[in-house]
Amino acid sequence: MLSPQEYNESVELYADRLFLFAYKRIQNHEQAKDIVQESFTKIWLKRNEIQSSKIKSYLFTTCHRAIIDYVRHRDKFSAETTIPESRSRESNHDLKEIMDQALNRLPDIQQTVLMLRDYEGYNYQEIAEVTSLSESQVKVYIFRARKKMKDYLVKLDLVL
Amino acid sequence: MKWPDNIEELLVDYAEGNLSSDKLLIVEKWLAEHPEDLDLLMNWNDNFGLSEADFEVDADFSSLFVDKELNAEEMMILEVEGLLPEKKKKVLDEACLISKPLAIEREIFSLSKLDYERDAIVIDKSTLKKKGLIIPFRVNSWAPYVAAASLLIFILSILPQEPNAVYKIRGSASPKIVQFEAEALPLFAASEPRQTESMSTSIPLEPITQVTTHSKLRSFPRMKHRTAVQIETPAISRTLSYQNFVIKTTPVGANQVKQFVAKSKTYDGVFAFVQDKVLQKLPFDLKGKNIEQILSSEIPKASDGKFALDIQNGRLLAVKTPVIEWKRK
Repeated sequence: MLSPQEYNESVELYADRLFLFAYKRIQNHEQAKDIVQESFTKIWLKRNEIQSSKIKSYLFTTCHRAIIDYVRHRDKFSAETTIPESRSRESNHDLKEIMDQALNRLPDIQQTVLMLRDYEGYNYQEIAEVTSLSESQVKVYIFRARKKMKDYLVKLDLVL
Repeated sequence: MKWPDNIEELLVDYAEGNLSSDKLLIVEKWLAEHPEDLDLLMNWNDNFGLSEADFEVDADFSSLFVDKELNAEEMMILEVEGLLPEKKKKVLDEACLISKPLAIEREIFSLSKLDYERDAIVIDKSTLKKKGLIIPFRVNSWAPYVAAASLLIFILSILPQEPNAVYKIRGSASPKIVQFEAEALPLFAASEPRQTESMSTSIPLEPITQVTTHSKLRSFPRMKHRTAVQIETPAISRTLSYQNFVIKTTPVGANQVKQFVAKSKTYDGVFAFVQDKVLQKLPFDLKGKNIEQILSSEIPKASDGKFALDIQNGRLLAVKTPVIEWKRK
């Protein structure tokens, strides 16, 4: 069971990380904040079922699902699709922008596994648990994601 | 012969078959004078070739970790993943030394490792936290439910009490249901064997000499009498009094029926305290009759209820107790 203190500590520890995770995926500041809030709310409501040692995994799993729901909803009502904030500034070619563009061009699932791998330092098994994939699938997606990013950067011929 | 400065690049292009005929001639001359590079190129495709087939990802990534020859791209990805064995890393280092394109590709692959962005922060984390007394819902969200529950309790309290309504027993001393033998309590067993119950503990082993009752009016949530039974036996000078049982009172017409049922080794029967007024209300008179007399009698169905028998003494003991419940204090 998660105590209020442990919950508050998890907010301090993981809110930023969840926000980055969500924001990179959906490219919308306010929606990313909403998803972070929704994730924490769900965790709080299920606090009696959650072990404190597993809270990070629960949070990212919940956040991942919330992002999937949001993206599906957004795509369904494509007329309401917001222009991704970073993509509206493609003329800015500093390295961070280019890397964002490279990341954004990856399929959703590849973005997800790559961010969990690099931002959170999760191993393949942990990523598999969060994303409900098999460990082998995670490895393949990461492999493909890195290759696609490299190909995009080579194609741009701007990085080095 | 003067060798061109970009001989390493030419070697790489040679290995990949990208040289024009004039450059091909230069490289072949170089290799003739530098056989050690020939060995390197002989194994080039095995170690570093970047054919399209190599871009196909093995479905089982784990196969990449076994000690087999890896292509350069896989090695670079494994390096980014932090999984490239030191031995392979040295091979890659050497390859990159002689191949600038390979070195560039390695550099670009290293960029695919995402750096955590510390400027992405949630400023108002306090809104996500829980403060003070934590209540799952705001007061105004659950207040209507409290009001509705209060109203329901009030309505229940003013409804007329059902004759057969029983108290819910609290605490751990739940009554033990006793399935009476038909011979012991024929009238009970015939139709409602579960409607007479017996306690399983704290039964006096000696004959009960005196039973007194104490009624207490309980007004909430329902108006109801509760009766505590006080038992005295010769061996137990203290009474069992309130540590024993609370018995339901059941309205029968204008009267209350109070019954206490006990079974023990020495008191193998049913004891009951029945108000005389109740007996007088019965449509038949069994008072004082023994069991043979009762069983041989034509007994009309008593609308007011059943009766219990003391087999030992063949006495009618109680009337109308649909369910007896008690509570240990």
